[in-house]
Amino acid sequence: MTARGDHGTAVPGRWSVIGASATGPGHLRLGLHNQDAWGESEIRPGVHLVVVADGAGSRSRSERGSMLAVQAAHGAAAEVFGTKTPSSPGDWQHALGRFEAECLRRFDRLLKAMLAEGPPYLAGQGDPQPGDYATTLLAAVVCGPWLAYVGVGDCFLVVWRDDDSAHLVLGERMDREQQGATVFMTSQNRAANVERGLLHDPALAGIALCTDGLAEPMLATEAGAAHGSWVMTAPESFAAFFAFAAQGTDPTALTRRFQDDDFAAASPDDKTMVLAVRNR
Amino acid sequence: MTEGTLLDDFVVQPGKSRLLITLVLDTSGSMTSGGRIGALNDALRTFRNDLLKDDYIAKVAEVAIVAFGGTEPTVIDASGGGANPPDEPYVPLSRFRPPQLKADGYTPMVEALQKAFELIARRRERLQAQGIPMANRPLVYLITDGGPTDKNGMLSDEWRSLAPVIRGHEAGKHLLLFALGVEGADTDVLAGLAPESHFDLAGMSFTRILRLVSTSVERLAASNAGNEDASTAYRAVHEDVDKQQRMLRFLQENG
Repeated sequence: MTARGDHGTAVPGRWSVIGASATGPGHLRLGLHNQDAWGESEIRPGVHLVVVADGAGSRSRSERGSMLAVQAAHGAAAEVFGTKTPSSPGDWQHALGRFEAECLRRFDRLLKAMLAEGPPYLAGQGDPQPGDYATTLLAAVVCGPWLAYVGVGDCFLVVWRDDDSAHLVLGERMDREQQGATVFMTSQNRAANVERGLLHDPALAGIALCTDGLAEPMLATEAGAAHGSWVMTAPESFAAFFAFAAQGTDPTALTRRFQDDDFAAASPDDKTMVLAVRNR
Repeated sequence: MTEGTLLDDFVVQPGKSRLLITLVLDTSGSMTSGGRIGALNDALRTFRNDLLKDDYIAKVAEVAIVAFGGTEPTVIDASGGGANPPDEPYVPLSRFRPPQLKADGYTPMVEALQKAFELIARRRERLQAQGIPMANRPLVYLITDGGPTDKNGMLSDEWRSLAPVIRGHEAGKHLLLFALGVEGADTDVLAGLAPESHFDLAGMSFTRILRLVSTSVERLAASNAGNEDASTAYRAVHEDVDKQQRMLRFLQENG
């Protein structure tokens, strides 16, 4: 939790962040660790980085891969937003482009350094390969009313507005298994599949970054604009999570919710959410 | 209002996705030998119960059976209702109550696989029309004790032209195919049909074979490997099977 005063009071106009991650029931059964990672930091007063990464469950070193992705995003945000906050739309576009490039470059550099060091031997896994560290990444820099994000893979992003409505901004695509294999930070086709976006919304009240283990329990479907198409949406009750974050209380309740029977039955995957809400 | 009740305000969304599991089962005459068909029927009951233990699989899985014996494949009413052919071959796991399968005739394996692929395509279309996505790629399990024959019971080479079709399905992420051979299976054919996912399980009971199937379903669902390229998914299952077989050998050798 950040951007709070000496006595734990929220500083108006700044952002408060909570996050939670629960190991998926399927991973527990397989004896796998939680392969998601998340992070947050206040880059400058009022400028926040929020990031989630989802290590591929089928890859042997993806737990480490997701940590590298989060580390890369921290470095990239500090580099791009650490000394100056963009002011004009053009500045933000430029900064977003740099942020994307830095996230990818730093991840590659961290991975290369790790492989060069000789990572720990894993029984039966042979020599480590970059693909063993496969992970997705969703990193967002929020500085109300601006939101800039970069995504590789299938994490999703929901924004909360002052009217208490929640909107899915990234991750509305359905039937992903038809679209080709999930793109990871280690994929050859990564560059062509980075999703980035810039939002300017004076009513921006909060953002939620989630790994795809939360898509099944938390997103709804509705008919899309094209005939016969369907899209994912954030249901009305999604706003309850933002309201919870705005209370600034114990985030472990969030973890417990993700571990309960309803969420466990909805997806065997790890479930991670980071919420940033604007202090009022 | 406490934070607990705030989070309880969120309604977990009803299950939207489906996992299609298609069992393509050999019911040719050779399955009568050694009581194999009876053992397979018994194992199917265990299979359902095993999978139902997984809350997630219980929620998303739909199962269909294509049996191949006689001169052509038969789509079985997996709900046990006796419809022939059933209007909807896929039934939710909770309603999976297959009838007693009978063994007879030849081994129209190639036609059975083609029928299974048709069923998958049709079911996928129906689900898509309702806005229901696939939770994972459809999984096809071929279990056989022989080699493919034609309508006259003669060994058939038709599988050679089916193999590239299967590779196309795999590359297009339409499905994953596992070919499981028991005593008497033509392992060359299985290796041709499923180069990265054939298993020689001679000597293994059907109960154990179907347990292997249910374990692989859980593995692919839990690790999301089904959303990766086919080779990665197959490798994940191989690792599990190898691990299980090593454990089994250890237990046998050490009493």
